[in-house]
Amino acid sequence: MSGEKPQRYFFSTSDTPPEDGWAYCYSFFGLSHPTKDTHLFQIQHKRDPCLRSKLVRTLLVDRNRGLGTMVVLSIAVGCL
Amino acid sequence: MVWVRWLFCPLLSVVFDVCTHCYFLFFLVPGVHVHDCLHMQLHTESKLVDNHKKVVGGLPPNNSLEFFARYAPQSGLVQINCQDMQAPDRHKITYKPPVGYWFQKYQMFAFACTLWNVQEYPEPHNFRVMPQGQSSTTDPGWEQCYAFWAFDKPYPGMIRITVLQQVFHPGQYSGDFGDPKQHDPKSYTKKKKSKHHVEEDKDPGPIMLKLRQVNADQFMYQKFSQDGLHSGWDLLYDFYAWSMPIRGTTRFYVQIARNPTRYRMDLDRALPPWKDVFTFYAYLVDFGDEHLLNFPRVTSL
Repeated sequence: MSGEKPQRYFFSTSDTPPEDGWAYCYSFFGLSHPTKDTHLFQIQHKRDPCLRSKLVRTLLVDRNRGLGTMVVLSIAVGCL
Repeated sequence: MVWVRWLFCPLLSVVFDVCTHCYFLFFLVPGVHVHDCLHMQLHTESKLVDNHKKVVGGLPPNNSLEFFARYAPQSGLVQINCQDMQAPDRHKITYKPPVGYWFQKYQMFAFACTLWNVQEYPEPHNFRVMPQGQSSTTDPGWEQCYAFWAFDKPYPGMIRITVLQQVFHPGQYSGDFGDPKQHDPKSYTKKKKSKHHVEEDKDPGPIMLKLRQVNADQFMYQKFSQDGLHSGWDLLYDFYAWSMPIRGTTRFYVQIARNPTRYRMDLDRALPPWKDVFTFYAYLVDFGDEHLLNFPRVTSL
């Protein structure tokens, strides 16, 4: 990426920035409970050497749990 | 001593309803972290309830750092790509394919959403709904009421809500042409005067001037509906929201008032002169993007 473009990203289920200097990119909604054909995604934050986020996918497929539950939550993406 | 802790910890974890995380903390330092976690959990829930006083269908989801998303495409969901880069290792989630040294790791399918700001203008009384990034509380005269998240694509259980607009000069906005109960003064159609007598209307003349461009002395009126463009109303935006209560959502009432005709979205049932038209369920945000998302934005990743 060029030097002008953002290099690091911060993912959060909160709509507030982690610290000054971060720019808000966008939000999307995921499910808060497993439904059919879903995977679990976990947000991890790393602070050293600089703050950034990772999204870890867990290949958890449970077709029988929580079916019919449609609850969504927002995930905000920020960049620096 | 250790086996005693192992014996009682599962029981206590059931009694106190502590999470797995605290279960292990409790094993290390009994009693302390259980209370801390319960207190923190109750505090978080009460704060969420305070922020969503009109929430329906139960408490909103907590701010957990994990979520579920589909691994297969589905109508109403958008593809979101997770990409990574080294030195330092980091991830990026974006709608776009990888560029440069970003490499695709996997994809998921989730709901694309937009933050909608509900704003009010005092005189002449007017309401508007503007999407994130296209409105500002610093617009002269417009006051931010609240905001809500709604979806960009239809999904089973959602209804389409349209934002229509017309532009009028002050004092010339007198009615809703889209209301079938009201006669359209611009209409040249035949009007039934009596059972056996039908006569053509006189030319009403250009009593309203409708322009695409908003001039300084004009006002833009919005209509919130489930219809498309009609009767002089232009389609400005559309979004999708739940038609039924979903956990964490708030019920929004689309209301209408006459003389002059105005539309608004409110959190309470209508009181005269306002009347409820229809309801939808979306995710309430106390403030709009100017407050809640009060930091710079980038439009491209």
